[in-house]
Amino acid sequence: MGMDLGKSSNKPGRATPSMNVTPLVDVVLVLLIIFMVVTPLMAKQFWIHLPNKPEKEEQPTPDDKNENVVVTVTKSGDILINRDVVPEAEFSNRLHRVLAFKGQRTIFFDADEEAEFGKAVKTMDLARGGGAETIAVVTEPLAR
Amino acid sequence: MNVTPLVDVVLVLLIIFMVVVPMLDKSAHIELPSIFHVDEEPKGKTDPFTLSFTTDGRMYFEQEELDADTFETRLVQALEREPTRRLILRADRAAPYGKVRKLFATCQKIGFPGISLRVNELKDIK
Repeated sequence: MGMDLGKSSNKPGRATPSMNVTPLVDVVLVLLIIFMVVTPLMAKQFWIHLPNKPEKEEQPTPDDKNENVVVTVTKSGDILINRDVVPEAEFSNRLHRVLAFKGQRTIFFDADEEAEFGKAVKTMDLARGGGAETIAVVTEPLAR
Repeated sequence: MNVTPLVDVVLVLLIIFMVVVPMLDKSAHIELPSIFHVDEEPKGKTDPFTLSFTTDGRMYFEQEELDADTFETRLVQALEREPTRRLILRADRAAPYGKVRKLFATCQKIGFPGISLRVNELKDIK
């Protein structure tokens, strides 16, 4: 099971070559430390609000009657601002205008039960890009 | 000085580290959603509780797999014991939103003011 490495070079009278590995160790140790430090910092977060439920029975579900802006994602992935379907590309600008018009910085967010979570988060991201500072998720299914 | 064993050990440590670190964080395989506008500073100073949510609906509190009821009691206990600690949710991007919303509803009922979503950051191309 051995490999033939050629003639052994341990001839008497010759200095055995040796490599200076100290710089290598230095570099590797530094890499290790950088790695240890950077890994926990890479995780990013996205904060969303869970609006407090009032003590009373009925929760004022945000809808068109009051002045709240409700962003909804449907099962098929369409985005709605209040009741209007908005194409994804226009969504940020449109939301910006709606928020400016209503003088608000808060949106309520909901998505269909079967919508993908990733799509929902993407929409929240777009909403934040469109000027929504506070994103509150609606935890009760909205009446449609 | 013969440093070769030292190099060996350090390299092996490096490799172990590279392999283990992503695993530590993954009680299950989760594909995080990727977004542009992440929080500039994480909310809450103390280290948050990590909740994980897989595509097939399994839930983890820290590293422990739990069902919905135990999950709730565990969250209640957690909030009682350490009211300043926040929650961070690692949910798979392919998870159905309905299940995640149920989790939001639970956290809301218990009295958490909000929840952080763990995400990957995409860089703006400008």
